[in-house]
Amino acid sequence: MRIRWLLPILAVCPVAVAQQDDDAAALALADRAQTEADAPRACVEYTEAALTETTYSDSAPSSAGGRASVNIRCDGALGERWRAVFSDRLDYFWAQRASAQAVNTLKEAYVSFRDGGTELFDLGRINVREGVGFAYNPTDYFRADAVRAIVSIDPNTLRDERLGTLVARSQTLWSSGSLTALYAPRVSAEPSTSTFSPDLGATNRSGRWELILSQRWAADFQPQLSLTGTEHHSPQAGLNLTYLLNSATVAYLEWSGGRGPSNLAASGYLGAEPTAFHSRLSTGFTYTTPYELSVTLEYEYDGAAPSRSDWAAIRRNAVASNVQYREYAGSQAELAARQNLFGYAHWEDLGIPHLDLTAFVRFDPYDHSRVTWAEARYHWRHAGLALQWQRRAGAATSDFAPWPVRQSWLALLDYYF
Amino acid sequence: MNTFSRLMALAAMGACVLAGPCAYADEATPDAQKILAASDAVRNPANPFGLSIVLTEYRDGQEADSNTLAIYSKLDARWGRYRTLISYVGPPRDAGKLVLESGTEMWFYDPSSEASIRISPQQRLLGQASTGDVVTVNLAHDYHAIAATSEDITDGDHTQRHCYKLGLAAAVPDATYHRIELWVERSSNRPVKGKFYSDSDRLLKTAYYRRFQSELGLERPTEIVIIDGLTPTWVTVMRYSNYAWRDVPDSWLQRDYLPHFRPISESQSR
Repeated sequence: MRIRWLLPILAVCPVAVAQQDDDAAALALADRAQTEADAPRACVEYTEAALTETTYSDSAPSSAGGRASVNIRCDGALGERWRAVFSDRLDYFWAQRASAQAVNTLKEAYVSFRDGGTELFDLGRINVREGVGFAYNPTDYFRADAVRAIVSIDPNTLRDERLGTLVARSQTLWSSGSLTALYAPRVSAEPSTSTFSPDLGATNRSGRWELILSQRWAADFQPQLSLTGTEHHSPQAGLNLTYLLNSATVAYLEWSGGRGPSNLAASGYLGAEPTAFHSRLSTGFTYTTPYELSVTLEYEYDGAAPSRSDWAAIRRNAVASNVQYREYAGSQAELAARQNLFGYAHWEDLGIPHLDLTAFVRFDPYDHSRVTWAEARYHWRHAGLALQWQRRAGAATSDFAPWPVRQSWLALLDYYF
Repeated sequence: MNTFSRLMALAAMGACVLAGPCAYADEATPDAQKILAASDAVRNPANPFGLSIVLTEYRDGQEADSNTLAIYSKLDARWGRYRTLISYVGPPRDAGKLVLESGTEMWFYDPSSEASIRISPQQRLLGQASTGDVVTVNLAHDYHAIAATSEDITDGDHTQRHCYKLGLAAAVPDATYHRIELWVERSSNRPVKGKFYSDSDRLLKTAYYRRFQSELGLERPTEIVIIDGLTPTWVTVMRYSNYAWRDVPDSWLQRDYLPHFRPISESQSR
């Protein structure tokens, strides 16, 4: 029949009419839209209030606690070429059967000078942050002892809420790369627990320097090379690479290597031992689905961490010394064991607009211990409400031993002014 | 053709007229790629420029979110692509964050950690607007225009437009969309409407380019309305303002400069 060719058109037309109606409704909505632009601002301030419930591995009963925090960051111009940055947070912690504690973290306070756009000079406390790895950053050489108050074990939060280092930094930029040189002087050898101490003893315990070269070799290939040194220690070399595998996947590799003590020797767990060459590596990829779910898988390697045989020896020792070593590794942002696997997922607008779900698991492939963390967060324009959960699982002397804390819950309310 | 067949043909044509767009044979075969390039020139000023964008997201007719962004864009002659710096002005929890798109690279910078994280084009910015929608894109570089037919459609300002309908296929691996249908007004090369599809050929979004005004020497769209392909009541309105020539040195459009970025004033532009 000659009209057979018309049938597909007739079938499609109702769909087309429905789409036209949808489009017309959307355009009518846009016609009525009243949009108001936010004005630029020099300072962002926010507060947080949190309640916690902690469960322990031993016979101790669960304990409740809480936290109140104030956070401010200002970034303002001082004329055409000068700029000043100030960032600070104050946390007040309390818990059952423990004394309350206030901790101030002076994250950044520095001035910056720009000479003609290609020469930059910074002086003051700066959060010097390098590394393309997601959860483990061996080239982030200024990470040790930088976290003064742990408010979350989320790697993003640990990077945000930490002390900067007192440095003088110079950067030269050209169209396809840059060269950065910085020096951090020795100020004090003693960390401070005083509430409002700038705690330069934590971040400037010894003189350090770093050179960072970044050069674009091709449209999608710009490696970053670094060389850093610390007083009385051998220099460490670093490499950072990223590559776009396709429109949804980014792969990355971060490596650092040089002579130095093992983590056990540096922690004081073992006596003095000869230094050796150690490599540290963090590599993985992030894939984003069309449904706003981003998944990161990362392999982490720390050649200075205990080998399997060392771990076996450690596990035979007392739990207390084991905990001490793991706390040391945590404060240095190093791996306690030689290898970790890390998986991270972030899902925006999970069924409900503005409801985000984030979760990660860190797993030791040798002893099968793991730490798991998850957060559901809903946010309005100024306020946010979050529920966080974390749990450690494994033997008492394993990498992620549930000792002394096994599990904790946290409910948090934040407000941005 | 018998009477019944004629009636059916008329009914189909009538239905199509009611539905809006109707394709018809073109009098000459146009060069689809040239039309696409001319349309790019309407959206994208040839010289380095800056502007402000207010993105307002609506769900079921209610405002659900709003972001204010400052954009700086510059054509990189080496790679034929724009390099774009997006600065978050609001809301307060996002103020100061940056996204840099340079060649095939995209970096997200958070001032609170001084950290730059490489992101993929698929990682979205807000609502239905991915970073690939907000940054300046030369579609003629990222897509092959493989067909051009003529079609009359109603544009975003409710006016009938005589258009070319272009079929675009991704030409580079990192193109944000698998394919695009783009309607371009024949007389002015203005982009009128776009439909954007995923790898699985699912309609991701429909965009209307509207409210054309004289900006930086040409009539350019000052608003884009984005309608979600799956949930049509999810609508994002992107309103453009404060167009200005804003040059920035090439050396600033790289990851290592992000911690030093400050909003660029007129006096700083070259």
